Amino acid sequence: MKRMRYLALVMVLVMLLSVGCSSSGGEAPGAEAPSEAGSEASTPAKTTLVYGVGVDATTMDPHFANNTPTGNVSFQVHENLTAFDDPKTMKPVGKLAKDWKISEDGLTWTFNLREGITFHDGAPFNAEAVKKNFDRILNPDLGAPRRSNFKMIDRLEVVDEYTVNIITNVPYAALPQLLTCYNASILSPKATEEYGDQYSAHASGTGPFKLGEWIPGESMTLDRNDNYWGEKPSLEKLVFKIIPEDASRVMAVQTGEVDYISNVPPFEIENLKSSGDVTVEMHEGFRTIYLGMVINRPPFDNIKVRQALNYAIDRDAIINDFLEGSATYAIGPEATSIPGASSDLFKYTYDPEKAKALLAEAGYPDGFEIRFVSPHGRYIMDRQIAEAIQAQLSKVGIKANLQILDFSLLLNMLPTGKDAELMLMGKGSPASDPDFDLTNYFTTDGTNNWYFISDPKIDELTEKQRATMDLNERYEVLQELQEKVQEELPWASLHYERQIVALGKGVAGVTVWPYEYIDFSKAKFE
Amino acid sequence: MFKYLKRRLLMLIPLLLVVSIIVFSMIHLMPGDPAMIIAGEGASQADIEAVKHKHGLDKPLFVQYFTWLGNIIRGDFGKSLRTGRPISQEIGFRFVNTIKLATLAIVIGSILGLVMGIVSATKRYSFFDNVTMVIAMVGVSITPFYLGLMSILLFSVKLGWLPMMGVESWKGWILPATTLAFRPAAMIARMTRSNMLEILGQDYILSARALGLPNKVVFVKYALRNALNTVVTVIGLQLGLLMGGAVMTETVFSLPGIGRLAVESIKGRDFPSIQVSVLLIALSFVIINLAVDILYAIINPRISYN
Repeated sequence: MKRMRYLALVMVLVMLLSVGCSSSGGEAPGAEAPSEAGSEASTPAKTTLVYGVGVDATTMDPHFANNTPTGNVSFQVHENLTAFDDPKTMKPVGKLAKDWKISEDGLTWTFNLREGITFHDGAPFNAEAVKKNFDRILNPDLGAPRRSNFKMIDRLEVVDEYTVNIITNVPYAALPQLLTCYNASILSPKATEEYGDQYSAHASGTGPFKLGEWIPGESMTLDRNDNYWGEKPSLEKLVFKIIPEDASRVMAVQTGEVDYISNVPPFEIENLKSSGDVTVEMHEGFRTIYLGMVINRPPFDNIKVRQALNYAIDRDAIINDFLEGSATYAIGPEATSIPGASSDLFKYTYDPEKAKALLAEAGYPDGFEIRFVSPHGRYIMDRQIAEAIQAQLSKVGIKANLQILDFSLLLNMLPTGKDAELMLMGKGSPASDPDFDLTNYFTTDGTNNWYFISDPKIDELTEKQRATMDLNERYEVLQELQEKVQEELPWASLHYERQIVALGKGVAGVTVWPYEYIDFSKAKFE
Repeated sequence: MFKYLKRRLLMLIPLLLVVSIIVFSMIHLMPGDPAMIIAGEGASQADIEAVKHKHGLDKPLFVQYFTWLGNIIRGDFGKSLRTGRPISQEIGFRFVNTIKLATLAIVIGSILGLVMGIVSATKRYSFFDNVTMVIAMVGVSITPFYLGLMSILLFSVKLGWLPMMGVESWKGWILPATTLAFRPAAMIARMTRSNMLEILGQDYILSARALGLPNKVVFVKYALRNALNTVVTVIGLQLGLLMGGAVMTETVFSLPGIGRLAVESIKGRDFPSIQVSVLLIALSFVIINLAVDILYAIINPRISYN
């Protein structure tokens, strides 16, 4: 008996470790809600909206945030100098800044700030506050994980109380877009000074909601900011309730225990639509799901093989069979709805015969064997899609040995380029601008260049578009750049994910942005 | 007894040290660099180095271990790498949730299991016995994950009787606790039944009956009391398993507990958080076993620890 007991202890520990290593949680936002809230759904005076999300925010300090669910929560509380005008047009406009102008040499950006805004803790919003925020982001001792995204910013200068200059070390055309990222949110300098790295528990922004009670892993309650400078929210409380299991989240909106959910699995759409009070919506998204090929060694060093792979994939089957139509056919790395993304690129269609012919031309008439990796639970139906692709590739003679791995392992493994030739991954667009993505993924020194692409023309065009301040001229360079990337073809772009959300009875006024931010500031019950 | 207790409690220290060393080496052998995960997708090498430096992950392993140990002894559990919050804040209420859930489940499981086991043993091969044993078989085999989803579907979605989550109200605990109680109930029922049957076949039961003792006395005083010895071990074992093994139930019912935290921490390679949660699970396991040993002595006077 005694031995059995220790055996059992070892079993528990091994089980925990293996569960933790093998599966990975879906990416979705998180939060709290008194369970009774849903049962009173029919009362007209309902002013608490409960939003069921898959994961909790890791921090309420956006300078330290590194994932979209966390950014999504932070955006309810914090605001940036700039924001986008509309989910359809995605043009950068002023938010905390009224407007801005650029100097002749393209290095100095002068932002005119809105006046009379205060942070939740009462600190005034002004040029000094903006400067302190960027000093914080850029301070190497702070260890902010995304500091290098802002490396083109040299310094900030306070011109007067409501005017601030951002001086870059190179001309950088996409600065207004970059400033919309959650990592560039403006926090109360009083709170950051007082709480330092524990700011998260005392978050204080200028946004429509204030941080209320936060029970990690369970829920987060945001209260209406009654002093909000813009249109005050009609909700009194916005509750993020964390429901890690997809199936439970779907049932929670059916029972009315939550009013809103995102990351709805596509196969639940029909089920939800048939359950009376629930409405399902699909919104455009900027995330591209792709197959990345390591191109610095055989077999993918041959362009014909890369083209063959593009012809061997039946994208329509994936979109219709696995995603229930909740995705858009991809023609290139950038989702075509991103401003500056090209919608005029060669479209690869399913043609296994052509794929075989190209493989034969490349010297692989009998195909070849490769290692193929994919995460599980990171992107919508990722595992199932990877398995379908494995089957499709086998039809043209490519034997792909699929390994499903934890996302965190992939993040460690892909930069070495040693353990796989093919990968199924996804790319979001945090700044909603091609610059960020094309630089990170396709330039020689790009942080996400897991394909070992090194093309002087791509590097040169990337630099050029960044320094081209005229919008139309820049779009032309971007077009050329994307054509060049497609010519080199390190990816087989598969599809652009759409965002599937479900709304409980009476919910209206929620805006779903394509960069995976859901805005509740105008949400209400009808 | 007191001496024995003292010795057992003192033995906890080396045991926990060994567990901490094993866990520490295991998490550092695991592939996956926490700094890369904290920095996230798209971070540059410089960003990753900055994160490493900030959290002391660039120091040699033994330095990291002894720094951690020294802090623990001083009562500083460190900060979570993922959230930056103090570990004590992360773990405290989750541990309480898991204790509540596991205790509720084991109480429900024990009552159900004992009743089912005893009645089955006394009415061997009856209809009740057959049905109970089929239920017990299903209970051992079915995963709490599936059982949990199905009970939500039935009691929350279709019938609307019970909430599917929420720890603020007692109602929110009913579904998770009964779901989690299913497997221990099945194990306890099977164990009680087979033990009772074995003991009922012993010579001393026959003697008791021959002496004309009423059935009730034979059952409760002679059979059940002897059968309980093993059953208590099973209950202790099950409770220990529930402390760390309620992950699925915690996930399905959106209940933040220590098991879920351990799994999430492992996924995020959140070393300080993994260490403390696994140590706590191990500690509860050992303490439950100690309690079981003490219960032995109370149930069975032949066992003495002096």
